[in-house]
Amino acid sequence: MPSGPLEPFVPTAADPWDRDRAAHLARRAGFGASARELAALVDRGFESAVATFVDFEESDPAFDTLAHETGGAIGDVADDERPGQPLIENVRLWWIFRMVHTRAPLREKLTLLWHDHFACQENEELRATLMLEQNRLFRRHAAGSFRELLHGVARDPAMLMYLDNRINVAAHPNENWARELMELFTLGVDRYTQRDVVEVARCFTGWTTEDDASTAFVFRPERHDPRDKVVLGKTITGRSGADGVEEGHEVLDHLLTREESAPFVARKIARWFHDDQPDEELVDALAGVLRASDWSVRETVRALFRSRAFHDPARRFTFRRTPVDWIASTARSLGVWNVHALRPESTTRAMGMHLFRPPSVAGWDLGPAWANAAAALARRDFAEQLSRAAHAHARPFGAPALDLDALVRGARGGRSIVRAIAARLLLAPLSPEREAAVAEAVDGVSAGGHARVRAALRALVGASESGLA
Amino acid sequence: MIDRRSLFRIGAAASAWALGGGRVERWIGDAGRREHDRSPRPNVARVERDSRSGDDRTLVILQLYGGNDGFNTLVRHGNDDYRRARPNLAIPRASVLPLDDERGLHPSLRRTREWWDRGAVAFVEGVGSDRTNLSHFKSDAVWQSGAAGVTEMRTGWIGRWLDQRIEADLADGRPEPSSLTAISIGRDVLPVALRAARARPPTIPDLDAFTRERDGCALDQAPVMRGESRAQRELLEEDVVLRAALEARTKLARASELPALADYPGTEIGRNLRSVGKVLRAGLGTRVVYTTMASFDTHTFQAEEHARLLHELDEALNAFLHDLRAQGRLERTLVITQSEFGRRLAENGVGVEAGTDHGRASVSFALGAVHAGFHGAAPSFADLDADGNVRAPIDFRRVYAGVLRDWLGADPASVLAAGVEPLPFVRG
Repeated sequence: MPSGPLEPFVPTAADPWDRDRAAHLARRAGFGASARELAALVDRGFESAVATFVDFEESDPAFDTLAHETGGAIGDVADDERPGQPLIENVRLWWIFRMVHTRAPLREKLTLLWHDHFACQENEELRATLMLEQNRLFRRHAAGSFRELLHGVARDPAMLMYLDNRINVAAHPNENWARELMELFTLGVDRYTQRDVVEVARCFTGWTTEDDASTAFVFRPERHDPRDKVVLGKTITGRSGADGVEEGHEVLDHLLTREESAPFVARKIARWFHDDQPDEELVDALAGVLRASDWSVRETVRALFRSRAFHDPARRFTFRRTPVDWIASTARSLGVWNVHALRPESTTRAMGMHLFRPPSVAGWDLGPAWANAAAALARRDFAEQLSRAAHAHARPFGAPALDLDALVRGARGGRSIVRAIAARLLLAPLSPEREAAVAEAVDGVSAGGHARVRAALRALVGASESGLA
Repeated sequence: MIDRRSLFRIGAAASAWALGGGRVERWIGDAGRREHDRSPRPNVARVERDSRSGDDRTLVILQLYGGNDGFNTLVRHGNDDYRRARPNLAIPRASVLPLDDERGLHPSLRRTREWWDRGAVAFVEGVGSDRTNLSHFKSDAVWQSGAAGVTEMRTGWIGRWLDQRIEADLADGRPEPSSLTAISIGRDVLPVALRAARARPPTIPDLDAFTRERDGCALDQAPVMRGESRAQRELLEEDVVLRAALEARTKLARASELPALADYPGTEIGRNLRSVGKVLRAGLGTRVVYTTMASFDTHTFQAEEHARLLHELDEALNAFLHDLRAQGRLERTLVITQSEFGRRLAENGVGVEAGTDHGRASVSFALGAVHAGFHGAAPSFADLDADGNVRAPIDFRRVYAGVLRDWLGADPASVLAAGVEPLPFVRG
């Protein structure tokens, strides 16, 4: 049993596995939880609750079909100007739908992590089809081996296009992929020299796509530089012909043997689920799990979610959700079935997180960056929109469906309405002062129809509390 | 760690200031002024002057993100090393817009050339850093923080200037400067340059969306959380940001409703500069605006791509300068461009696919209240560094030092470091 930063949490009579602990796990490992999901997590017990998130079903064909069909129901899937292409907006909605409704929320949260880590931007050339393919790659390897994921990304057409390796040729090596591979994907800045960048670029010469439509990876030996290279002190023996492709594979594996790589990836995982400024001891311990498990992401997050450090009550609501996490969690926790009718992708865009359009190859900032003026206003705007649009009865398609009666279980008074919504949205109560302030304002609204529920919903969804997990 | 004193302040005071420290910076901006159910209508007549000096001179920092190729922006058209290194990408001599015997502009910069003729353009040649690595993100952070070495500082150079202003005003018992003294327009998150310890400048990705009218909400006036736990501190920060945002929204609504005084292109940079023009015109006490244009990372297809980028920049800047002139603000506005690094002299591909990788020396240009002409030093194309890059003879911080001394009325040594010699390109 490991001690130190990853010492497991062990429930005892004094320190039981309870609703508050299960809620923390659901907010961090998933996108919140419906009332039923939360109850089930408590009933299952600690280890089994962690497994519920971590050991998800790799395949859920019924859900895939539903998500796909829902994507189709949202609007025209095909882009008229680019025949055969889905509209990127629909791909965004399809993905958010998955986050809200999947039985494997950790898979979607990890898929989002890899989109942030290996950030590519959709554009006129780098079309929705390729972004969708890349997204499926991230999902396929979401909790699998980081090594396999990295190898997959290196030959992913979207990445080959985005970082220009597509045209990296012996006569004119292009350094774009080589640099970001080391700086942003495996080692971190300053863990290599400009010379290494050039050498890695030469190793990857000839890695390209079949044609400009760029739908498949291909290695072109005639573009490859067959001379020897030295990468971070290791000689990569130059190879010609079809064997030339092995140099790239060797580079990827070599990068993962560097002592910086496991802490670099572990740090990213810790920042995504635990703390944007994680303790270095925790990072090192997670790096140890990565190495010991041959880069298993699943075992690494399991170790984190099982740890006493993760379940420390002082950690609750200290984590700034990314806008996509926030909107998916809001919809999932409240049970907003048809959230895509509210154009959630335009809200997250206004908050600074436009899916498939990260600001750069470095992905999005985490932590304090999300406490900014535009994000705060956009969150408040979405709350207003949701409170207006919510209908009393759920319908599969059309208007956004949120059963307001079920949400507050018939409560009429301000305080009980606020408590009911907070329990669903935050999986925790508001502080007494804040609860009293909102309750007072809600009681000031006439009791007719759902006016009070709407006022409380608007205040709580737009509240600072909902941005924290 | 935010101390208790400030918590009380935030609930009560019209503005708050913060208390840096702890493991990361914690900034608290303007906060606490209460938003009523409906915002007041904009009042164009009311003009907020700078609280300290009555100064309304404005600095506009235009970030060309991705690493602009300075060598194809300000072209040394007679240089043989340049032509040899760039068989595909060198701008043909006949298309360069000549400025003098040696230098000319990329043909896309037609309007900039007209402003040059009007005496409103200065170029700072050879600007960059020989010490940063060639990472976009690291170099950008070093540039924006104004750091001397290879590691960025925790605050930005404008942020430190702002902190000093706030401290001085507090010490003198004056009202604190406008919460809109420094703002960012067009970016999602706060740029490092504006990161301060005592203020949280607002980030406005899009002026119209930001200033949309909003109903009040029950929690706008709810008590802020007080307490020492980390969760309470994070919540406080969110609250302060929200309240500052609501206040900024109310003030900026006045700007958003103003008509633009020039015909701006509909590009990203056109929209951003159009918003900057409106904010300046509204007279909100704004002294520094940071705005941005992306996609200068021309590893491939540079000839076509760079021509398009510079064209968009040229058209937008032209509209902005016309706007400023119509406002009578051209003499009181200084625009500077910057980019995290330049590009390599040698090109990296063949034919139309040719591009350039990350380099060092580049060119910044300055428009408006400038000493027109060339500043800095032309870098050598013959004496390259070990990576094949053109060395940058001019430390980028010398540009900042010139701006601080001659435009923002600050001591460069206190914001940057002692010994950074100001470049005298600003007509203060």
